[in-house]
Amino acid sequence: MTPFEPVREKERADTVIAWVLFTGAFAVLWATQRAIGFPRDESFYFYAAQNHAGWFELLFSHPSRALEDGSITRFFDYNHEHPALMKNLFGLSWLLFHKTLGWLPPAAAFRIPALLVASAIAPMVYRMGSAVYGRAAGLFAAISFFLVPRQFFNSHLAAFDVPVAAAWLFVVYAFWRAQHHPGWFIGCGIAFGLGLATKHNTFFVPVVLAPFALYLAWKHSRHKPEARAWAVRLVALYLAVAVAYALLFLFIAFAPPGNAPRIVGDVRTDAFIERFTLLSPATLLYGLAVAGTVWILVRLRRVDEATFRPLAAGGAMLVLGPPVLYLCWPYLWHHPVQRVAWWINFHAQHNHYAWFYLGRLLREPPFPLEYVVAVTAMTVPVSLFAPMALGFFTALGRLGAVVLRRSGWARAADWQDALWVANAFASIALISLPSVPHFGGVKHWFPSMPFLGVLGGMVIANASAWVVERLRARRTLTRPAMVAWALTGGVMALLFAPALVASVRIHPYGTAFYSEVAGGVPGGATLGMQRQFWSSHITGVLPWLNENAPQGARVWLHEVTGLAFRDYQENGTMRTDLRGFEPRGPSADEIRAGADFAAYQYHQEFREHEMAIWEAFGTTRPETGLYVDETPQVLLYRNARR
Amino acid sequence: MDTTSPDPASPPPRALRFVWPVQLAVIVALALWALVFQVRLPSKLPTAADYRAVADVLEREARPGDVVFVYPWWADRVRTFIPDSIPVVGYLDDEDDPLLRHRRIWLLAQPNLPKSDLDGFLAIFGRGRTRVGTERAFGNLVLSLWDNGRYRPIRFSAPDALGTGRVYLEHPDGERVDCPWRGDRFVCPGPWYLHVKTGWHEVKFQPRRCIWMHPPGGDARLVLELPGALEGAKDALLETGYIWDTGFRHGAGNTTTYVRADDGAGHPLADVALPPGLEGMQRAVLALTPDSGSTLRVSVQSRDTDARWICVDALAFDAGGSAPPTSGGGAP
Repeated sequence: MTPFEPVREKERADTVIAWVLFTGAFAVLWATQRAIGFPRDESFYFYAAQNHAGWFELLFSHPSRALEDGSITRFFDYNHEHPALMKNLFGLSWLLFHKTLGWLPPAAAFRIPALLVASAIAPMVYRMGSAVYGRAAGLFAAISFFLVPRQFFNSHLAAFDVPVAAAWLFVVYAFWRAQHHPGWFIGCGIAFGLGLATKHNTFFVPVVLAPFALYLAWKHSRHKPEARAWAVRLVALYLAVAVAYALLFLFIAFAPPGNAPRIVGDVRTDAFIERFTLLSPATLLYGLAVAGTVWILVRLRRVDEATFRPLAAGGAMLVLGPPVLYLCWPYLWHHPVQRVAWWINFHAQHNHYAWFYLGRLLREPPFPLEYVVAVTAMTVPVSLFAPMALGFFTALGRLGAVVLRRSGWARAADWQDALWVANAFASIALISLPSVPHFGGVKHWFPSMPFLGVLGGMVIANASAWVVERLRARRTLTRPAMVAWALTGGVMALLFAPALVASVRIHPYGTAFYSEVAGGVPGGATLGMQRQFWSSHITGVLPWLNENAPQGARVWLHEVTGLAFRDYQENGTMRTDLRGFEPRGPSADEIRAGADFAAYQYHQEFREHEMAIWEAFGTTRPETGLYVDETPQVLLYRNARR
Repeated sequence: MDTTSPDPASPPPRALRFVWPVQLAVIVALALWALVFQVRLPSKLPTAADYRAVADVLEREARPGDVVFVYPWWADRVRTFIPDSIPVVGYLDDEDDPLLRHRRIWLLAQPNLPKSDLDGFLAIFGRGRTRVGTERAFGNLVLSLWDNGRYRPIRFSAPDALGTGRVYLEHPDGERVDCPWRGDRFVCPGPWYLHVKTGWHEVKFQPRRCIWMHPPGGDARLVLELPGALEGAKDALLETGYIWDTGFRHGAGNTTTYVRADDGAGHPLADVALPPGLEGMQRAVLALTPDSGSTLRVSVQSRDTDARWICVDALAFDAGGSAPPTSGGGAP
C-alpha cells in the first residue's frame, strides 16, 4: 500500500496511527503547557470552572438541593454567556486532580480536558484525510494543525476556541461516517449537542451540512419515488417549521411592549426575551419538528437505507442536539427557553474591542473584508499555508469542473471534496463579514483549519503520487511503495521543518507569531499588526519581578485580570507576597500612588496607559521587558518616585 | 463508500496535466525559502552586547538635547540600555517627525530585520538633515548621527513653562473663575478633568509631552494665559489634538472642540477646530504681527464634555532656523 491510496475501511495500522497521533499530541501539549500564561479569558473560565466544581460537590453531597434553581444559579450564573460543557470538564478535572488528589497545580488540572479535546483533533482529521486521499493526506492534516504556532498555543488553554474547532470537526466527522455506517447518525446528533454545549459557533454547522444531506438524499432517491416522497415530506416539515419560527419571531419582536421596556435590535430586549418561556409556541414548534422528524425518518428507513442516512444525520442534530445541550448545562434546567434566548441575544450584540491591523486600529464595523484571509496568510507558516490554499482552490476547481461537466481532471470531485471545502470556508466566511467582531485574532476561525489541513494533505498526496507515477512509468522503481513513502515523508518533513523551527522559537508566546510572509514577528510589527493576544505574555517578566521586587511590593500587571493575578500566585509562577493593583483608567496620579511596578502589555490601543506610567513613575525607561524577536511585548517599569 | 480513486482514471486535459507537479514545485520552493528564513532570522537580531556597545557610545558622545530615533519605529529595546536623560523616539508613521526640539539626532536602525526598508525611510527622514560622520555598526545595529536641519531654537515652550502662567474658566457672561496652581497643575473647581497640567499623553500613537486642557462644557472656556510667551519671538506654533481614543469617538455626545490662541489683548492668532473623529495633532502657525502682545492665551471650548481630552503644545521660536513646519509629524 502506498501513502496515496484511500483507506476506505479503517485498517489496524490506522487505528495505531490514530492513537499515536492522539497520545503524541497530548504528550507534547502536556509537556509544554506550564510555560503558557493565562490570557484574560482563561482566568474567567478557571473561576467559572471552580464554581461548576462547587456545584458538582453539592450534587454529590446534597443532590436534591443541587437541583434547585437557586443552587444552580449560584454556581452557574457567572460567565453564563458561554455554555457549560467545557467548564464542567475543567471543574471536574480540577476537583479530581488538584483538590482531591493533590497531584497537580490548579492550572494544569483545569487544562487537562482542553488538552485531551485538542489532541482528539489529530485522529479525527487523520481518519478523514486518510480515508479519502490516503494516509499521507491524513498525516499532513493531523500534524500540521499543531505546527501552526497560534493553534498550538490555543490548544493548551482551558478555553473554548480549540474545543469548538474539535466539536465542529466531530460533527462533520460523524456526519461523514454516518454515510457509510448505520449507527453514526446518532453520533452526529450527539456531537452536535456537545458542540452546542461547547460554544455558539456550532449553531452554524447545520447551515453547512444541510445542503450535503439534501444533495445526498436527492442523489440516492433517484429512481426511488417512495423514498423521495418521504425525503420531500421531511424538507416540507422543516420549511413549515422555519416559516412558523420566523412568524413567531416577528410576532414577538413587534408585539406591543406591555409594561416592560423593549427596543428590538438595540440593547433593551428584556421584553423580547421574557416572551420566550418553556410553555410557549417556540417549544411547541420544536416538539412538532422532533416528532415529525422521528416519524418520517422511521418510515423512510423502511423504504430506503441510502436515502435515510444523510437525512437521519441531519435529523439527529435537530432531535438530539438541543437535549444534549440542555443536559450539559444545568443553568438551562429550570428556564431553558428564556436562558437560551438570552444567550443568543448576548452574542448577537457582542461588543467590539480594538484590534491592530496593517497600521490601523479596527474599533468598529465595517471591518475589512479581506481581514481573515490576510491574517490567516500572515499567521500560518507559509510551508503549511501554501498546500492548504492550493488544496482549497484545487478542490474548488475540480468541483467547478464537475458542475460545468468538464471532468477528466485527475478524478471527478465528489461530495467529500465539497464537504471539506465548505467547512474550510464556513468559519472564515462567517468571521469575514464586516459586521462580525474581529477582536479574537485568529481563534474565531479555528474550526476551518482542520479542513484546510485535509485539503493541504490532498495536494501533498496527489503531487507526490504524480512523481511516483512518473518514476514508475520509466520503470526506474524497484520498490514503489517504499519510494512513495520516502518521497512523501521527505516532502512532509520539508514542509514541517520551518513551522517546527518557528514553533519552538516562539513558544510560549504563540500569539505573537507571524509567518514568513509577514516577515516573522519583526515583520508583523513593521506591518502594523497586533503584537499579542490579551496578557498571557506577562510570564516573560514575572521571573524578573520575583527576583527583584521588594517584599510586599504593589504591582500593576496591565490587562492581567485580578483572577489571573491570583492564578499566577496559586500556581507558583509569581511570589505570593506581591500585591496586585489596578487603576480605573490611564490615571498617572492613581498609578503613582498605587504601584511600585507596572508591567505594560503592548497593545497599540493602550499606549495612553504607558504614557500614564511614564508620567506616574517619572521615567520613560523600562527596567526590563519581554522582547520577542526584538518586538516589545511587555514592558516593566519601576516607580522611580518611591 | 462514496469515494472514487484519487488517481486519474482517464488522462487529464493537456493544460491540467502539470497541475500536481507545479503545485509540488511551488510548495517545495516555498518550504525551502521558509526554512532558510526561519534559520537565518536569529542572525538578523541584535544581541544585548550590541545594545551595550551602542549605549557606551551614546553615554560618551551624546549631548544634552540630543535624541535617539529608532528604525523600525517599534524597535526601541535600546530604552532599557541607555539612561533616561537621552530621549528615545519611535512611533507609528514617525519618519516625517521634524523633531523641532532636537539639534542632533542619533538614528539607531536595524536594516537587517525583515520588512526593513531603510532607504525608503531615509528618503523621508533625511529631508533637511545631514549625516555627521560615518555610520557605525554594532552587530545588526547601525548608529548614525544626524544634524537636524529642522531644529528650531526655542524661546518659549508652553509645556515647560506652564507654572509661569495663569488659568481660569471664562463664562459667556465674562465671569472668570480662577484655577489656582497646586504645585504641578492648575486645578479648577468642578469635575476631575478640569485641570491644566503638563504630562505625557498619546495622540494618535505618538507620545507627546503636552498640556492637558479639557473644555468645561457649554459656551464656557478653559483659558491658559502665558505672559511673556511671545516676547521677542519670530514666530510661534500651536499644536493640539485629542488624547488617546477620544479622537476616535464620534457619538452623539461628542461635539467639536475649538482651540483658540490669541495674544492676550484679544487679537486672534490661530483657531483650530477638532471635530469628533479627527485624530492626530493639528498644527497652526500663529499669525504674529508687530502689534501682537507678548502674552499667549490658549483657550478650549466644547459644548459637550464627553471624551474631550485635549492635548496642547505651544512653542515660540527665536529668529533663525527654518520656518515652522505646517505639515508632518509632531515635535516631542
